[in-house]
Amino acid sequence: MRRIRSKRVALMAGALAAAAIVAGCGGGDDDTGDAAASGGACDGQVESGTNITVQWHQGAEAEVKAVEKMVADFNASQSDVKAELKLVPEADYATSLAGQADSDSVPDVVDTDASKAFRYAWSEDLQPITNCIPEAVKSDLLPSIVRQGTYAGQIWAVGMFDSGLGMYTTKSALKKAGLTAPTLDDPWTAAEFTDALKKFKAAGFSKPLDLKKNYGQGEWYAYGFAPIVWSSGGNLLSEDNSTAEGQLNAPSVVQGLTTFQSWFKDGLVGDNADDTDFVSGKAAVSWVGHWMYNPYKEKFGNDLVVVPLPDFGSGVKTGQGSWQWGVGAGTADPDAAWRFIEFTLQPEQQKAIAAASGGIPARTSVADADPKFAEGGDLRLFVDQHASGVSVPRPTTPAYDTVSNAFNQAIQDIIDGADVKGSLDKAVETIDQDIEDNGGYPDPGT
Amino acid sequence: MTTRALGVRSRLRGGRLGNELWGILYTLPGLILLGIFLIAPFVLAIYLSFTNQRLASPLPVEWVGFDNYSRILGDSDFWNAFKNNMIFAAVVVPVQTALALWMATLVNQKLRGVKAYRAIYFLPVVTVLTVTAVVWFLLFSPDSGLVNGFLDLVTFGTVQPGWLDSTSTALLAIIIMSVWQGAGFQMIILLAGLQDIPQELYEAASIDGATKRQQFLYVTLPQLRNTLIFVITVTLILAFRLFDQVWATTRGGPLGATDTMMVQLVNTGYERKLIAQASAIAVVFFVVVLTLTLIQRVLLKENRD
Repeated sequence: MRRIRSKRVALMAGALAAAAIVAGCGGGDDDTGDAAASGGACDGQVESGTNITVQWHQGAEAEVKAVEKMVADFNASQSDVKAELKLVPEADYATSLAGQADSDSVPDVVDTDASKAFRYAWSEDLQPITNCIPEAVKSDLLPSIVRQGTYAGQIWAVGMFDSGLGMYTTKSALKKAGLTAPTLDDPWTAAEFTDALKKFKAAGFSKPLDLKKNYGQGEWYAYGFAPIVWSSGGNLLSEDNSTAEGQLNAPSVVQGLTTFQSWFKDGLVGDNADDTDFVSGKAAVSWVGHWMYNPYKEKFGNDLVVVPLPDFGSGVKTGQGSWQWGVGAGTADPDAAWRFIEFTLQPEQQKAIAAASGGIPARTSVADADPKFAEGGDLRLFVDQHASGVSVPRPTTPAYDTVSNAFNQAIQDIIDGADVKGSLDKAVETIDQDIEDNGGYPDPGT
Repeated sequence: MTTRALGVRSRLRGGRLGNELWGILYTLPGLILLGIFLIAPFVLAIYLSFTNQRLASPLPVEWVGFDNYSRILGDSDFWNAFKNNMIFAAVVVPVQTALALWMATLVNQKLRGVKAYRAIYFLPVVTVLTVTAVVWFLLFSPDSGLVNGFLDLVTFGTVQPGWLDSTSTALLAIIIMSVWQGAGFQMIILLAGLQDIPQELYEAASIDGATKRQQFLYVTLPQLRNTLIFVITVTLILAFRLFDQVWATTRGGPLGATDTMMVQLVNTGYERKLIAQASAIAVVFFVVVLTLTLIQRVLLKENRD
């Protein structure tokens, strides 16, 4: 296996060198002569008759339908590239992808959840696409999309939409409990929020907080609850991504997550087993991402409000980044793969996927034109959070995969009533051991 | 010269050598498949367990000796998983075997529609384990599940366990769903064993004045000895392989209450991408199951006459 890999790497290096020479000799039409060598293998030429496989995680049904239509539209729109869609169940997506990477069979176009792409960038199972992206497209992308896709000086992944995380509640529930909706300028503190939950409970909501416990241990925990770490003044990893010690287990984080644990201990969080706590009126607040906007809006209409997460002491923080496209390292013609990705970034497709997912379209021009995200729109909060530095990217490092697993385990243990400091110390130990085992994750090509 | 040549030819055609050759040829497809899918991966696992092979890593693979083993054996999580496996097996093997035997004797009677009962008892076995687990997961839901709803009704709300959410009851919940799912399989094997027992033995016993209970103890059980040993061995091995139910419901939680060696293996190999360390778990797992099976074979000798 190793032999095959190194052979393939050698081939790729050869192809890169050849591309660089061609680009250099071509001169005139391309003034960034060394772009091919530094930014990926795109040469702007799509070979006719190329077949590509597009892999998408089988999660929310509306999204799957939208992607299916996208692939069909793509095939109908041109005849050079034929895309075939492959769906992999979301629950075991990470495991499937790890297996594909190990057998060097990562599809041509593959989606990964936010920072999870970089493990595969590092292991040379993805290829950089920096020079595939035309400047006009790049400058129109949300800054958060570019930031979430960049690692080791290259862009490896591009999302069709960015995520938004907040709390959904209703005007009538707030009124019933005698509360006013918090805003980004005047958010609830953690103590105020705990107090609000108790008021909701007193007002008849038996399990006032829905934390989507039914999603179970997985990326949701990292995405949904890492903001508590950031808002408490801690971090998942140090700035240089070398250690979690003193960051994830900082005293302020222990304090923040102890408050989080108290919501469970005080019976304020429902188990949401059938995912209906909020719509059935058992819960007054649902702490979840953009993807629940459509079903909630359908149920509550204009009664629905989206409010920011509570402030644990260092300002409101929220997550960013969502599923994003990458290009497999074994892809013979990355231009063909990029042609598909670019198709998904076209305004028509952007509108379709944004409508299906509730996510923020990756292109500023499309997002601005959507009344949901415009000033005064229901989801304006999500746009504001990205614009004002409230949203924090998950660490863009190959170590993130381990960070996420260890943090998810710690959150699960904390939910189950374990000692908060002990759980975080254990996560730190796992993360630091992994970083050490992998030689500090040296940047690719060093 | 001629006779010797003839001798060789006849041996090749139908003699001993010919038979051996054909024998080897006939077993070859099976041996090749076993070799590729059983023996090779196993040998590879032993080899990998002494390296630091990782999934999705560009770093060179190095020989690390017994590092993986010392990491596993020094890991309290692994011992916790091992303990859970032992408890699970210690409960499931006797309970499931007894239940299966009871069900088998029930459906071994000459009753109208007995085949329908057999089919009903066997139904959980043909259901996909993951589906069973998800259904039980909903049944066990502390807030809205049917199990607690029923308990609420008969105990007036005094008994409301947290089932899969609680460290004290999660393993029990897994045991209940596993026994419910697995007993039908043992029932069918035991049923076949029961039907092999000659009817005359029961007739002779009843002429001697043996009660139903005595007939069961002194005719049925001794006659079922080999079948029971087979069933117990298979149940033990399956019990150690406990994975699907846990993965589909608790993933080892809460706080490791339902963690098993298989869950540890998958977590280590795929989630943490430490394939070498996972291989070491596989080797330890194999040694544990082999030891227990050998002990069992010494204690329960089959009757081969």
